[in-house]
Amino acid sequence: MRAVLREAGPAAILGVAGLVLWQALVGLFHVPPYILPGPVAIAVTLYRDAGMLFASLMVTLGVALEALAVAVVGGAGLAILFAQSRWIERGLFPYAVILQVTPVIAIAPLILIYVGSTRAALLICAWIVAFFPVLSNTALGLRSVDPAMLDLMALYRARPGQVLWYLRLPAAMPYFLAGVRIAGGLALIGAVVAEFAAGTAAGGSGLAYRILESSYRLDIPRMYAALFLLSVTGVAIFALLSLVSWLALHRWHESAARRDR
Amino acid sequence: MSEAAGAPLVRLESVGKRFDNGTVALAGLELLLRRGEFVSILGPSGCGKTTALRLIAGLAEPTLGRVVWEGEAGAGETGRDGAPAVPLGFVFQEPTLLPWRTALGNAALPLVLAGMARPEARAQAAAALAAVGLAGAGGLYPRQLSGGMRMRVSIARALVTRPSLLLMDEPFAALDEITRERLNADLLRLWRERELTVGFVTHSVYESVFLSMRVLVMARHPGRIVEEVKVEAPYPRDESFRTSSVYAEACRQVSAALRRAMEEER
Repeated sequence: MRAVLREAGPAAILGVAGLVLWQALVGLFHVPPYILPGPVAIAVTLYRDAGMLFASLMVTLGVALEALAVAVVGGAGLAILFAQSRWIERGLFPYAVILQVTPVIAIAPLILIYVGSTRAALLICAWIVAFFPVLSNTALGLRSVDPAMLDLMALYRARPGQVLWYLRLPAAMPYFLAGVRIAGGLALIGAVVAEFAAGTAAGGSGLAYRILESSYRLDIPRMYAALFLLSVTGVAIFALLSLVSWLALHRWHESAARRDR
Repeated sequence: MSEAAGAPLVRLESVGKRFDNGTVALAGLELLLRRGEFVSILGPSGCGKTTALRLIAGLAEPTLGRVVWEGEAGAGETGRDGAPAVPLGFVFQEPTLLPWRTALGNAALPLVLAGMARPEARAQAAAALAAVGLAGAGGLYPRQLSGGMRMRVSIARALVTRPSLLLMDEPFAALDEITRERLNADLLRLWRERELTVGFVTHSVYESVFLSMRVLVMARHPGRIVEEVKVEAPYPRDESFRTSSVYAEACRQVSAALRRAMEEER
């Protein structure tokens, strides 16, 4: 409990102080809510529009999580493929980099034109952003194997499949999980960015669409409420993936080690 | 076990090894291990002693000469594609344990890789851990073990396949003096109990004399064996051997041989 307070205390104190100051300033200078709403007004909006906002959140979250799942499976699968053949890696990796460095907001309109289903287009956009950290991290992990361990495997005549299963995959685990943690946040960003690109024309109903719609109506409190939900969701995804990583690694890896007995 | 040298087991015949970067690690190396022997290979760092061990283990191929296995596998017959012809254990310089497997899981690895059923492999691994004095530590992960315990797990892993030849590459170099002496004593006990042949690479004169029947002294540039010192002391050897005159004399001889080996390369 004391450790939790020490970790989270400063941020909590600063956060609460900031909110109080914000509310006080808005009240003191009579700032109208269509310019800057106070935290209370945002909370009220969040409560009043909860049904609609949560429905939108589920749409965006659904796209982000599906994209993350495909990114994890595809990224790790591709990395394992790379580990089998240097030739395949040399052939494909540059294109993965190109896909990664081209801003998704610039590709999204094209994808939206070519792909009939808007949801599928959103998925593809979110996946493009999310899969690269999984791919590059896992590929790095599969290669970062102690040569002495490979000698050990050679000594006991391990087949290539056994080297992968008993040595390379577990060794790559910490790298892979670090990649997944990054990909979780990126999948949400990708989903939101793609929704913005799709705009109202796509008839979307995700959170980004709500923000866009609210901005047309100058419903600033609702914009803030949607923004708040997005941030909380991002933090929740990160926390959940961190927990998964801890569960998988804490028994043996230094990054997640508990105190020694 | 008889202390007289047994039948030849493996022989390196005028072996040379040149690495891809052009370094000549070994040239004209002649080496014979007999069954039941404890032989140390001693030399300055970079003299190719590790390479010699790797050639015997089949982890590297000689560029010149050959590795000949003798005895049961058929006299004069070389192991196919450089693979050793007898069951063999290898202890690396580092414990080389898989951090995500427990001590038991690490010790069982060679059996699991060979396709043995898991309960059987675990039972044999537990027996191997008990043999190196780690009966209660099977459930611990490598990061929970001390340096000496990690090396013991590594030795248990090397012994779990019941090898007749045990090759060790400076296994105790990173350990403190007391731990090292304990492991030396335990190693001698295991060697006698299991009738092993041991090829032991070290850069410690005292360790080589305490453990071995013969000490092979190597020189560098290129790596080759320049002298052989016999340690004429009976086994079992205990701590009192370290204060005996035979020990002191053998240490003096080996040190002198090592000094000559170092001078020769100038």
